[in-house]
Amino acid sequence: MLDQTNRPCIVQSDLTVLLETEHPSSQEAKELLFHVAELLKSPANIHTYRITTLSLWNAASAGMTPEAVIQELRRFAKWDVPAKVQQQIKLWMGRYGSLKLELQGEELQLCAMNETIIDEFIEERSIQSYIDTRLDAKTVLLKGHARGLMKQELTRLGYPVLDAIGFHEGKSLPFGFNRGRGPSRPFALRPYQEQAVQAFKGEDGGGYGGSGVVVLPCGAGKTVVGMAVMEQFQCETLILTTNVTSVRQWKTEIMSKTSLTEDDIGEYSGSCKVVKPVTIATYQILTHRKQKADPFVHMQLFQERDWGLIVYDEVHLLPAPVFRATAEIQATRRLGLTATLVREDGCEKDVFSLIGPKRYELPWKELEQQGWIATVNCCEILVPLYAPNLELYWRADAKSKFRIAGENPAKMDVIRSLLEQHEGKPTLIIGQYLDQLAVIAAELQAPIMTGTTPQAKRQELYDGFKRGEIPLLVVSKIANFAVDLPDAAVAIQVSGSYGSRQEEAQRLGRILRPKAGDNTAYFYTVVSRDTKEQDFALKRQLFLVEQGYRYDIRNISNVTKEAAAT
Amino acid sequence: MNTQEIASKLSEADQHTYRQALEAAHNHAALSLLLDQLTHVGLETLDFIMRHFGMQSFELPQLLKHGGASMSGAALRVGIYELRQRGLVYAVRKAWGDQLFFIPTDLYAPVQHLRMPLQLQAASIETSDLTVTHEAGRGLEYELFYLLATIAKIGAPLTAKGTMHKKHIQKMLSSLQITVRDLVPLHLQYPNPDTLPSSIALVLDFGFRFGLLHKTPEAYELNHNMLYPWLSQNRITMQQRLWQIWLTAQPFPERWIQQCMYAIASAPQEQGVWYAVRSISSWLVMHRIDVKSPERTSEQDIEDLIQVWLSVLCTFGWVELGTTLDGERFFRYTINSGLELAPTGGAEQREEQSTQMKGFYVQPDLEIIVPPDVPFLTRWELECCADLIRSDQVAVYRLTKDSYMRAVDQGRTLQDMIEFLGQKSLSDIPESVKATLDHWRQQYGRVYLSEVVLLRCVDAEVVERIRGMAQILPQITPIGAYDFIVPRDQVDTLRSVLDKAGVTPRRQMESTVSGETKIGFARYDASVNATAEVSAGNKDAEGFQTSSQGFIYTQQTVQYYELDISLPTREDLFPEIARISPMWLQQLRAYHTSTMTEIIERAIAWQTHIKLGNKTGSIIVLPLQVRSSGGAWNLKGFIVGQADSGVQEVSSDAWDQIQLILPTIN
Repeated sequence: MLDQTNRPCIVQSDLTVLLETEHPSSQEAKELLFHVAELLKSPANIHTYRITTLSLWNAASAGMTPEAVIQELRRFAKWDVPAKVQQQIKLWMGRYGSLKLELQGEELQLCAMNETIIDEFIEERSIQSYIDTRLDAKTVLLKGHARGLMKQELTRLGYPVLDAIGFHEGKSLPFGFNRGRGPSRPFALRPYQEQAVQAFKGEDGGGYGGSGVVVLPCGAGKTVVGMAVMEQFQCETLILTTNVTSVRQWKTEIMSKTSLTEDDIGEYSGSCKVVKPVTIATYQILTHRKQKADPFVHMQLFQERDWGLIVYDEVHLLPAPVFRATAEIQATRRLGLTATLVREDGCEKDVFSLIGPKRYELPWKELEQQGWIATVNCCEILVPLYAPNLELYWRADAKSKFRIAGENPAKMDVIRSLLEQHEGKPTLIIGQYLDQLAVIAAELQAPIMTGTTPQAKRQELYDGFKRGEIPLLVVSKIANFAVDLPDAAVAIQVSGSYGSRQEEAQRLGRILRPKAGDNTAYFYTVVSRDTKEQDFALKRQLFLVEQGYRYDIRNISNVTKEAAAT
Repeated sequence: MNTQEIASKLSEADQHTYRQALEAAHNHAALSLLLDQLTHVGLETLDFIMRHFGMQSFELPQLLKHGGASMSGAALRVGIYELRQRGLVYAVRKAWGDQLFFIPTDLYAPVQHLRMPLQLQAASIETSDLTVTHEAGRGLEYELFYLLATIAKIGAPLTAKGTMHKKHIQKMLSSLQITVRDLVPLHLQYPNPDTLPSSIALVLDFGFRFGLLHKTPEAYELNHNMLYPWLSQNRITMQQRLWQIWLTAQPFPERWIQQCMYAIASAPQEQGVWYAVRSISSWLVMHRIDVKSPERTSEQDIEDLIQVWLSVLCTFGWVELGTTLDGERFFRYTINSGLELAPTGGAEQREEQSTQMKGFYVQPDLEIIVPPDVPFLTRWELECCADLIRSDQVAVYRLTKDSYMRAVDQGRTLQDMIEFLGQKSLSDIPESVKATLDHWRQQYGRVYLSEVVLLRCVDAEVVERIRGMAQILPQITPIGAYDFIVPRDQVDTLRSVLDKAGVTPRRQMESTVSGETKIGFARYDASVNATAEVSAGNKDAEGFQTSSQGFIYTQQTVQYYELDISLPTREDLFPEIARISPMWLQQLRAYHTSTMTEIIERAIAWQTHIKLGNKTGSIIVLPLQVRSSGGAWNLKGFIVGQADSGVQEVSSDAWDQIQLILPTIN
């Protein structure tokens, strides 16, 4: 067995790759792994990657051969690359490019590069309804509507399909960036944003680019990447995002950074349905219907104008009906944006086949090192639970236990101490329980924002916070996604939704935007010690820990509970 | 039976007699010298035995049946005599007095290697032109390790029928990477095959052979005393011991396969170099090893079967198989068997390894990444206090609340765990990990139920007397008005002291408290205390004993019989030798026809040669049959040098001189 123990990588037979980060060649190895594997976690010392079908197809789409991938892995591997891994690389990458979707006149055809590959899957029941006729050993005539569905299903079966039909241009929409004319400082794309745009376009802009996903941490400027892609293609664009606040923020950003005006931008949501050359809609309105049996009437938005580009913001939250609608608009360019391409429903492959392959990703800590996002000090503060809540806790069922621990009144002292410690810094208090948040807001005389806060009031609070007029804002879980709070430097999490890793990451994301001065932000999570909440806190922190964040632990002793922030 | 086991059955004087042979098993130079000292007949007999019986034991009639033109019966008897005298072949005596001969298991490999060396030809092809078709498994040492760890965690209790419970079998199966399918070629036979998968049986067998497990009526139990030296070994030593014991314990369906396996293990081997599988089948042909079977007709069939057995070695983690585009098959070693070299220098190698820091990484997400060079003793402690997530080139463990609870149940404290992780971790233990462990400490193990031994007093007066004896009694703790807690290990001392003081306790305890369990992770302090880390060069590890008694039925039966070192006399070898004329043996000369017939009959009885002569020359014949009539004789037999012509007839018409030829008894 090849033994090069002075190298930085270990390739395991389950296709995971471990990388020693302290190794002198780790940076070189990291660059390779960036192209051929997905980063699973990046805590100190050892980073874990996984080679997947998608990562290999992405590598193949970038022009790498299986032999090159194996040779490069060998170059960095301590021990020989297991034969099983080599075989999988050859098998999966060998399939890339062997199936192509083409238009012959009006006919949609699936063409194979060799005679055997179609036989491998032609009998699968799941694709029968998309097939019209098998023309010969290497060609299958597909039904007209099956372009996206066939791609989706074949991807699921392990056969990637190159869509060579290309994209239609959509209706032209000429506009440009307001370079040098921004309200604060001259606007320019950051290098990694530029790279992301180029990666999305593809090598020559006309190749197989034009559909895919860009993965960047919160605060890294995904919206800017979206706008830059729009600017590249100069076409009418449909932007889909998670909520109305986010719709408004997209609109504000576009107006402030491009030559587009309010007249060019439409908002399509529950309250307002205006379709303009650039339309920003929520997933919620697209999937809205009066009754379960009714059709999704708002899905017609996809056909409302001649869109040249569709942007899927927070693509990891894309609902299933939108997936289905997306399968039918495969001729349109599609850009997915997300901080975590991890779906709880296991639909990553649908994202690959329907939106496109992952085109660009940059780990959180790397952006932090480059100074593009703030350095965040994470801290878990363990607070005792006192009587009479302690007795209540002992007697409660599991669900109530979690809530009692979450609403522990002793957290108030810690919050006060933290506010004192960070006096003058814009601070968010984020929590799960409205009662608890109301008490905190009342005690601290701070404004509160929850799901029931009217949109206009929310905007007013956001604006006040941004301007520095409101130094402390108490928010419910509505702040979990797509809220642009550029000046928040401190976040205090007082309660959360059980062990949700995504929630923890998104909440931390609220304070990642670069800060003036030492570019440092503070994330506190206040947890009741020796309770279920502490168990769940461990799970919640995993994603961030895997991204390389470290939580300091502070214990508030029973006696000196006031000493929270010392 | 190996030389160690034989030595243990010999008197000191006899050990001295066989000293050279007993040492030769572990010293190739001594063995070469021993073989050089053998006569031609001795060497020929040794080769003959290896060719026809390999390591299997045999009776003399079976051996003689294979004789013929190539080896006379007399030569074989004399050869056996010499080999026994030299300590290369031993005998045991069966119940009815029949003798069973065998070559000691640990002598066989080096003898075969010296007499029938397998010369492997390195492949003259680029590695990139070759596809690995069967990768090496993670290694038998890991299979055994994880099975033992599973037994430590859940035990291996037996039902009333003596079989294991399904639940335990499932747990054990999930700890193994070897599958039942991998082991099909072995045709293993063992107790309860209908309930116990062969993969578990095989690994259990190693556990029993190394004394790491023993059977009680209730369970298969860990032998903690033997586990320590076993786990103290380095991986290479473990692998080699496993390979060697497998060769001797595996019941091979055909003798030549066993010989192939020995040859592969003993051949000079260079790791990573690809060797042609064909070179093994060529070796069989070159050394005229009998592979005849009605099912096999071609050399391709033989190669196919060798390939099947090489696949088994792959499963065990010892070799890998590959093939070229044109279908030629190759294999390469992933470890050294330890049989190919005299084990000199091993100690220094292990010493060198043991001085290096071999630790793991504790990650903030509670995962522990364990590189391949981490010692097994450290891994054993990890098995106790963490859960195995993946076992691959690098193993990954995770600290969980369950694993913490298990460690506490096994007597570890939070401090023990933090110390262990701190000592073995190549990086600092993240604070969050310490905090999590502390969080679990808060939740588990701070209170416990205990069955203790109580010294109970029936009245207040005796309570006072006992309190008054506090100075002389072992430490006992008062509990309530009439009772004292007694440390379990002080019970006997307390009995004795109280007896002497005139307060004799009742003979029987009031009720039995539960005894010590044989499952679990014994505390090997060396694994916690880095300074006390035991290297594989440790005396205990070096003195590791193996047992012929395993779990799987073997073909070896010699261990059940009594060793017989008595050698036959000349009269035993050639009955009535004293009654023949010495002249028959000394000189080629003419005799009367009847005497010549008598000499030929004697040669036939002794299965030995005769020399026939006339005025022009002589021939040597191994007579099989003789007829005499009318003053003439006619014999059928093999003429030496013309064996290919088969049985020939020779008569007194052509030959008038005769001499009886006996092989020289050395």
